Amino acid sequence: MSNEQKKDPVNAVPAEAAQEDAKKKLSDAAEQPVDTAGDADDLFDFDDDDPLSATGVSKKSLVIFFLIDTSRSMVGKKIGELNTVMEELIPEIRRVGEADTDVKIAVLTFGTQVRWMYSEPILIEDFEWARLRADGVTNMGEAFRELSSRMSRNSFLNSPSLSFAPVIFLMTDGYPSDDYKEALEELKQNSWYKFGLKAALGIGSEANDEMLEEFTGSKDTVVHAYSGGQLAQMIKIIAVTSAQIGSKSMTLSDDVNHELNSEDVRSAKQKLLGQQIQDSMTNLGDADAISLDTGW
Amino acid sequence: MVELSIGQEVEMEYGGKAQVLGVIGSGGQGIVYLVRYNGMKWALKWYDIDKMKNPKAFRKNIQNNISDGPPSNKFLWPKYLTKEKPDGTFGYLMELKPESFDSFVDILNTYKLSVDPLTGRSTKTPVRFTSLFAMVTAVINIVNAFRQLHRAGKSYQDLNDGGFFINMDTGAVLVCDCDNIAPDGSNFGIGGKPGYMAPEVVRGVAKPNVQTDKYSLAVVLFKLLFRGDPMEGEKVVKDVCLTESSELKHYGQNAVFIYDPDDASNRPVRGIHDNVIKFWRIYPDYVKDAFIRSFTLGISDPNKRIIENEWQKIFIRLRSEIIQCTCGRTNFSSMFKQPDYKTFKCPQCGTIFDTLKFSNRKNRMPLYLGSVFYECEINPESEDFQTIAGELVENKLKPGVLGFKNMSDQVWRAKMPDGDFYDIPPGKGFPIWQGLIIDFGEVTASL
Repeated sequence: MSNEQKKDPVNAVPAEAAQEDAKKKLSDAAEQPVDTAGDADDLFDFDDDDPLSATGVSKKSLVIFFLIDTSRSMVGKKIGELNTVMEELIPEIRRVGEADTDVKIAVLTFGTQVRWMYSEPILIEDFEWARLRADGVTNMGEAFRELSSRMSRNSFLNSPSLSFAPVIFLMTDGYPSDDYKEALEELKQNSWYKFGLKAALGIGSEANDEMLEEFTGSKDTVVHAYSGGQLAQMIKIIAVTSAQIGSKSMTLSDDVNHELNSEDVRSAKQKLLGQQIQDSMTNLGDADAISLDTGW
Repeated sequence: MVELSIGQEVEMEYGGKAQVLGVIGSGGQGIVYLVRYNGMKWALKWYDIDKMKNPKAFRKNIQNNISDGPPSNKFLWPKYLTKEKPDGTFGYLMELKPESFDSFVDILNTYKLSVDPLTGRSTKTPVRFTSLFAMVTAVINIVNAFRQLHRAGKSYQDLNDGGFFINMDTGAVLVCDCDNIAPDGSNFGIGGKPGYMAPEVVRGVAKPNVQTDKYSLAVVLFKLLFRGDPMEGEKVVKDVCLTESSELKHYGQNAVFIYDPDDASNRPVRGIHDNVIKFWRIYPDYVKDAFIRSFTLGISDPNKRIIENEWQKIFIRLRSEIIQCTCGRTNFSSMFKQPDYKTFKCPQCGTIFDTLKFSNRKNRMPLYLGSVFYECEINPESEDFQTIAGELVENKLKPGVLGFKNMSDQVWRAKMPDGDFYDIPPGKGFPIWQGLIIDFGEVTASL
């Protein structure tokens, strides 16, 4: 299915209606008595008792939010590198959810305008990267507000079944032009944000790591790319690691030798993400020595 | 971790080099590469030793497993270790999965994804068992593989949906990811995959062992048959967001089976868990009871978990109760009408099925053209659930006359309509009739 079709609400209606119909049938069937006596005629629903005709197992859902700076300063190598790596990355992580999780992607860009790449999160299997162009100022605060309003059961996180807390990955090369602080405080009140996996990538020497740390809540989950090669590698590492951790339940009990309580496991995923990002960074070679900030 | 690049050569422990041809996949412990070694293609699992607590002990354990050999041919067992690099990094070679096998993950998803390497676009192909026989045979094969493993004194530790490949036409099973297999009682750091881990492992009070394997096995079987999570119902879905602490609660401290007869707090939810709701209705009680026991008593008391041999008997019985009606309806006999204890009736077309009663079990086997029984069903000493011993066929010279053909290598005796018993050598047959008695030796069967 193409993204175009997915976005089109007119096309979406009949499919959903059909699904509702099927669900109703199932529920009707489930209400029937389940005793094994063979004399109850209504026990037999010929349409839907084939032991082989299953739909996919019920899955948890994970939305990965990419928040991407598309301000004027990103023009050229930075946005080019970013577009290319994202195009390559998506097919690589298509299977990350395995049989447990439907992974969806939502991309929010912020320049002068704050804009979603698609009007709703798209299943990673169907996602196609639309190349971004850079222009304008860095309205990050507005992006935080927009994100917060969409991170809700009534909006982007509307899966009827269980969800994992979202992954939120911020990439920027500069300092916000607007007053981001108040917006960030508002965002921090959002429960999805609180439980979410946050990571940030500063691009070039202008990006402010302290501000990024405010966003992720921990030093470990902030990294900084100074060259195009680093940028590509770091985007991949963060996206793959956070998608892997985010789309799966945690193996909570490693390294513990006592009965776990909920205090032991609090923020276990965010901690693991920080650890793994830091581990990967130490192995990262400087593949491309030309700085992102030179040669303009 | 230090990833390998295409074309790179890796030195093997006992000489020779494996050349990397491509990437097959990646997992929590490392990356699996396609390699060429000694002129053949192999899979190389290459470890991220930074993520291991004790790489040396882990490697030694694989070495032991290689020298012990696999418990049976159902395992894609480690074959050769690579030479340890100066920094301790290593991997092992195993045989490649044959093309005709699908991964358990794809089976649960009901489709597989192939990605065009040029455009990055993906296409879906359905993955589905081609017959009910194949499905139940797959279940028997999985159970049997773990029985063999546990009999060898080992535990799998990390039993989950990533660990199997199944042939959807035959039900043949290959167990992969055998690198965490360890002598029962040992653990080299793997905890398991959430959702499959026994509650005591989730809670941090036990390490994986044979008893926790049994819990995970029950989850695998449940997912394959009922296509849902045994612990994910209303109680869990109410949490909306599955955080680390809700996971500890619902899969560890307070795990409640969705069909716990004494606790209705976690029933499946329509619109989300439709598969389970549908399939719970279809399976006969003795199958459901085994799952109820596994996921109620078996949650807190590992000794109450179903042992592999018991599962094996349950599913051999289930396979013998499949009815393929001429009208096209194929289902378990529990989904057919039963006008009296000796007959089944198709609820769709009204066809009547006689049944055969074996002296070694209570349930009756429905008879139809093509119905079969296996070696283990007529010989108490046999564990062979794969070799067909007898099949109901149509007489080639007298159309419409049905009879059993002896496909075993033993001579049977059968009572014929004249009242006398006759020898039935291998390859020969005899008609079914109301007074039929078959003498297999220790076991007899009658209509």
